[in-house]
Amino acid sequence: MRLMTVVAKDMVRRKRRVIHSVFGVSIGIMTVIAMLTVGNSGERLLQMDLERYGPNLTVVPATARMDVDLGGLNMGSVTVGETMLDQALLPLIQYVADEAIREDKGINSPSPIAIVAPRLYLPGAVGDRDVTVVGVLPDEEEAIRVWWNFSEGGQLSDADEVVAGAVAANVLGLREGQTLTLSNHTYTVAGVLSESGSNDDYLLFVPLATLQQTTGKGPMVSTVDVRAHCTGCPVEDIAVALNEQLPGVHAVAVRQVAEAELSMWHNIRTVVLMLAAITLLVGLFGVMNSMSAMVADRRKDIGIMRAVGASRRQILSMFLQEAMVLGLLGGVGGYAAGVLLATVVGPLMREGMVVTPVLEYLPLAVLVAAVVSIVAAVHPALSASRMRVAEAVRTSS
Amino acid sequence: MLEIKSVSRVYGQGDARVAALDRVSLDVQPGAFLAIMGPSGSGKSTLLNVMGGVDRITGGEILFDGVRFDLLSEEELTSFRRGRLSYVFQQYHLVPSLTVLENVMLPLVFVGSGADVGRARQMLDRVGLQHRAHHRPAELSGGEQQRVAVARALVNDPALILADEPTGNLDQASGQQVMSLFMDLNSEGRAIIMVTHNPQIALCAREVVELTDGRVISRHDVPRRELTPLQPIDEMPDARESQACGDSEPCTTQGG
Repeated sequence: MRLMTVVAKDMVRRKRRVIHSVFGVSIGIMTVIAMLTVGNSGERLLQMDLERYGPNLTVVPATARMDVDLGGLNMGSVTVGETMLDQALLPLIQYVADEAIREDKGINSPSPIAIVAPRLYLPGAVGDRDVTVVGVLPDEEEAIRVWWNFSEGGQLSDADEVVAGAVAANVLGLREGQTLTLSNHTYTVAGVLSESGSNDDYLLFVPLATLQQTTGKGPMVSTVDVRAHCTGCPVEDIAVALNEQLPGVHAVAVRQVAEAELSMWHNIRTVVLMLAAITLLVGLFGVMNSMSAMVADRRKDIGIMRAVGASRRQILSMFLQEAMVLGLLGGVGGYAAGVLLATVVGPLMREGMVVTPVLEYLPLAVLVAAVVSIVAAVHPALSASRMRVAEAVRTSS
Repeated sequence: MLEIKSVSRVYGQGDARVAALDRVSLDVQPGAFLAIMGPSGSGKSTLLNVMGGVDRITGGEILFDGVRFDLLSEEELTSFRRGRLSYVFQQYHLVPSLTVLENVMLPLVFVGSGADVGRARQMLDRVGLQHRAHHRPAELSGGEQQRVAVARALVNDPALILADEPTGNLDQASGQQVMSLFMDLNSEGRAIIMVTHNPQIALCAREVVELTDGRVISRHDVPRRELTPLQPIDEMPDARESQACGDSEPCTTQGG
């Protein structure tokens, strides 16, 4: 038999008291874990939104736009300078963006990191209807617009194919496999996009090279979307680097609604975590309380043990071992309850949230619970160890 | 083995000062069996406690095997006591959450070597409670609990057993069983110091020390003729070791 056995037997005997203490710790841990879990799931949801909303960065020609004002009457704006980008800039944009990411993340690999997807917007007509035709690089376009879904057919795979946005297809009555003529060139409909609520719904997409050739535009593009495919990428830094190093281009970091929401989410989470910490503190006092009560309960037992040879240190260590067990139970229990609470609260905080438990929080929960219990136990345990044996086992008691 | 030199124990301060022990001197030889008697509040239990090192003295000296007991720190005292002296209380003071066997093992747990079940079983056998090993204290009679407490006191093989009213809560038959156990242990050479207010129980000891108002007023041998008067002395040369206390009448002529 070891000291731990004595502790364990005693805890089993005082089940109610032990459950009470475990409960106290669990409540605090539960709150923290629930908040962390909801926060984690919410953040993932928002990050998915961020991805859906578009590229991180858009590069456009550095045109000077001037608003023309005449006597308070807005006459529209005048565009000065280039309205197109030379396609030769693409490798440079790729290089500058990659360098900025490498520097920020400390990556040495020379392989490309950012996705660079150019678009050439041109007006066109199908029959008597005006449309906007967009020349794209199919692979890059697909990589950057991960939310693209096809209601019919699929992505461009041939130089003479076209993909129609949902609204454009509807208006023009396009179905997969049909043909249409644009700028005297005949295209076959490879696919129709599902409605996404973005501008893409109104556009017709054709291979960039085909559009450039058939319209005689030469190697020019209108915009370049850049996506740094990593979380927490230095989008602003990439924009600054592009603006500084490449003349004639203007890079704009796309500040997304989702991004703003994400930072708000972080703020809320901080506040809630603080509340959770306070709950934990209250739990600490609860445990301290029940530990003190337990010491009072066990005055006699402690006296007996001291009388039959237990040292002060052994009494102290018995109480700390007990606190440790309370902490372990409270940590595991609190984690389980926290995950449960998160699954209930998560969807209330943000619609469509699917809460998934984060197993990495379990050791955290157990550790925090153990520390809280031990801190709570130190004072009562010390006073137990200092108890006068003669008084504790006095015949009259 | 134990020398108490002019020991005082004062509780409280100023007007509330109470001297539980007032310059008590006492000498205990190995193999002694002392009964400490006296009225309530005479300092019997305090004397026992300071001898056992569980209460501190406010004056004088205590020497145990030549060591100044009273000068040791709490931790030193704890380890010094182990294997030298054990306690038996009036209220048995078994740990209720542990089985009988575990209670007997408890002192060994604190020695740290990991408790030896065999030794504990041996001690239980000694007090005749082997069959109760896996019971809880609450399932035992008072007399059985006290015998468990004696087994616990023996497990560390102490040279001195301190007993505070060991029969105080027991009926006569159980009290006799415990006293006959004590006499056996004493005949093995263990010293026993026992506090009691029962004169019949005191007669089981070899010597009686009387305390009044924190002072020793007398110390005398127990006259042998009082032990087993119903039997001729020549038939029972050493009545104390022939378990006279275990008979229907404990240690006295006057009857229970």
